Amino acid sequence: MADKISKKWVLQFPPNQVDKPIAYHLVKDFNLVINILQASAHEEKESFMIVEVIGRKKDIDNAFDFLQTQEIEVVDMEKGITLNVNTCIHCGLCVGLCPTTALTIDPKTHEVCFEKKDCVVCDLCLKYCPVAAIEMEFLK
Amino acid sequence: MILTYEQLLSEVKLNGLKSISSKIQAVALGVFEPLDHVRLTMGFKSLGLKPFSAKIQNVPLSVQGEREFILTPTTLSLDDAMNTHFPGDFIYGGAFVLEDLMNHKPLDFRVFGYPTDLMDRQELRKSISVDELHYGYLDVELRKELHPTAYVNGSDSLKFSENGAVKNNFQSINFKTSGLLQSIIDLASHVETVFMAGTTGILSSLGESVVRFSGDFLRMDTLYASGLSLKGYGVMLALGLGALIRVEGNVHILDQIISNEDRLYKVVDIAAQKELSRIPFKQFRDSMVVIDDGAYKVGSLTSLYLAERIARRLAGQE
Repeated sequence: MADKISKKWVLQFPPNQVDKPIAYHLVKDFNLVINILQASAHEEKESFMIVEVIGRKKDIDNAFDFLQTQEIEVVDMEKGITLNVNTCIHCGLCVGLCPTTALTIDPKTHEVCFEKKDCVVCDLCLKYCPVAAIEMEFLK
Repeated sequence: MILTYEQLLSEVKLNGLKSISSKIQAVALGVFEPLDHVRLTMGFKSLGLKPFSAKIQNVPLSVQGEREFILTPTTLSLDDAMNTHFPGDFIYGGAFVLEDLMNHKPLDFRVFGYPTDLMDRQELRKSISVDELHYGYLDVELRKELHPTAYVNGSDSLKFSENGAVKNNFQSINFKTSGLLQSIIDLASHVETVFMAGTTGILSSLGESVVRFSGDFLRMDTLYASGLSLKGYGVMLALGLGALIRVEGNVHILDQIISNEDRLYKVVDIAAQKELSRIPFKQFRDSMVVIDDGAYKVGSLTSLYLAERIARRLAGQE
């Protein structure tokens, strides 16, 4: 168990690859434990799946190579939140919801400010922003 | 001299009312917040049929006469399956149609009606943008709220109100009105110029507790209007409003301007529907409220940033 590691991947599927049993192959052929965190499948446009994979490094590397051969783009990622300043109306709803002090209102200008280092990516602001100005980004 | 409401308050606090009363000509007030009673009346030159029902982007319109339609921001899109039985995500509704129209986007417009009295019902379907409207005016009704309310939530789950999502277990407080809206209503009879989302509006009706403003929708700026989708509650339109209040010769009206410290908000537990306290508006503006020795973060749907920008623009400072 000690030699097992965990990685989070964003798998991006072209439309013609949506129906492939990828999760099955990752478990059966590469002995990985997978946890599907988020998924969106469309037959007509690109789909994605965010998975956490747990297993031995060698198996994870092999699985990575396998996915590449299946025309599936694999992005090794960390999640992050971004505030779109062009869409934000500075209403401050997110400030009351933020469990840390990552989102605050500037006491002088009353602008909503976002401090990325304090963000724990709890997604509350993302779900409730009334103008969808808060977005999830996936960092390589 | 024209000052914004905030500048006036700090000047009075610093030097007293007398020092400024002889110099000031007008006070500029601005708000940017979700408004409940808004409606757009839009008209076409001709349609070629007598309508009995209509939709825009699948959002139902109310038909008025032969070529006039009314759209309200809280109306939901008919194909929003998530919200058929219970409040869900509210992805699209009347408020977003208004925003899209302001952005000159082409929208799907469907009208059902009869070409003449003796012919079958027909559907007229076409893509329209705001540029094809013959006229459009936006009416906003403001109601006097004697006790502006902020919500706190004592239950275990998130709750929703017109103020947005209110966190559980008294973790945050939510409020809507900036307080300045009340000043506009209180002083409406002295209003000189009305700012309505980037254009000049008129005071169309002045009642005891209700004030109505009307503005040319075709000239409104999307910078000061935004569709809001409140998960679990509904769709609303946040609109930038402002008023230039004439003071010259009416210095006594300065007495009616209430300071942020004196304007009290009723704080209500939304779960128990029980009043907990009354808090000065200043604490809300400073993003932290104190009730019974507990400090709570404050969230709102009121953009003080845009409100001040509107006020500065009206005062000629921007």
